[in-house]
Amino acid sequence: MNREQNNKLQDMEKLKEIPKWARRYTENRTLPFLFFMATFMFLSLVIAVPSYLGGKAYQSGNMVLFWICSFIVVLACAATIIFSVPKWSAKFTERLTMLLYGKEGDVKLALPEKTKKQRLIGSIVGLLFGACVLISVTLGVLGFIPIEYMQPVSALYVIPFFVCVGIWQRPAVNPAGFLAWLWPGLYAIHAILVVAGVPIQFGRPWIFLNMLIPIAGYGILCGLIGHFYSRYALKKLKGITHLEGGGTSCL
Amino acid sequence: MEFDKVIHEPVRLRIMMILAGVEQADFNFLLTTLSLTRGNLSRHVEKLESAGYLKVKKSFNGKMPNTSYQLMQKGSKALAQYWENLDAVRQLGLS
Repeated sequence: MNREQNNKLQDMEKLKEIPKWARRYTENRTLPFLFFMATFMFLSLVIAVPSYLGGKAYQSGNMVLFWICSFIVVLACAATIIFSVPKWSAKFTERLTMLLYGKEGDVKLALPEKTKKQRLIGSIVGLLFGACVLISVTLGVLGFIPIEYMQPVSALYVIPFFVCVGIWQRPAVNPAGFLAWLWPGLYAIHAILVVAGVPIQFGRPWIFLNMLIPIAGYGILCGLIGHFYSRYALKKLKGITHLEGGGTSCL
Repeated sequence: MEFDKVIHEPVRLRIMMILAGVEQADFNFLLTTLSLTRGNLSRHVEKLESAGYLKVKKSFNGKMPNTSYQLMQKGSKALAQYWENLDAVRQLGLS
């Protein structure tokens, strides 16, 4: 085999990386996820601010304000539940993906058909998550959970929820990829640091940021990392698939 | 040892490899990734489809028609066989 043939065979070897980069690109089209994070950020604000005001109102005996705040919190929690159930948010995500990545074309990873039992489990997990949010917020408002420990307490259900979501979305989300676990990982580290007494918390009146930043801040950070990684993966993919001479050469 | 002529063509090999990594990809994705002309890409996917390696799915995104491609089991097997043959040739060349 001469050098030219050997070089061509080595080039052919590079083509074996195409599925890997195509998959990584598809996995990391995270702009719709960033949109969802912004929505959750808004919902968190709608939960946190009335919770804080409601707590104050309860303590000062202003029951009208307390019930108004409670009503807003319940509505926001209901919206969180709707956004948390994959079945309800899947179609919206698909449309949003087409809108944001339409120029690059549509590409999908295998999403195995969920059985009735699996769909039921998904709905239960979503509802449980919503219920946990509602219960912990209620306990916080009533003063049973100190406001500075709301984030570590929420980590007890937020982290299992995101682990469940990661497992649920297999193989569309690669559980072996670091990005799938970066967010729950950061959230857990934040909770541990808070419990350990590291001064990373905001004081009043910005106390609600103690929840918002770990949830939305780390989420947006991970989403941005994913999006930039998808740019890199697409560049790699295009580099490997590039054909010299308009694709007419052959081994 | 004979190479599958349908897959051996560089553009078709790349189309098959992209589809091996994902569940399905649409015409636009293949077009932008491979930087081909519409006519050129159409001809190649038609050959792969007629060989039974690809499944074509036609749908609508709103009012816009959309054509997606999915690798069939026959295509996956043919692709695996192609790389097996190529590796064998390479081994022969090295020895």
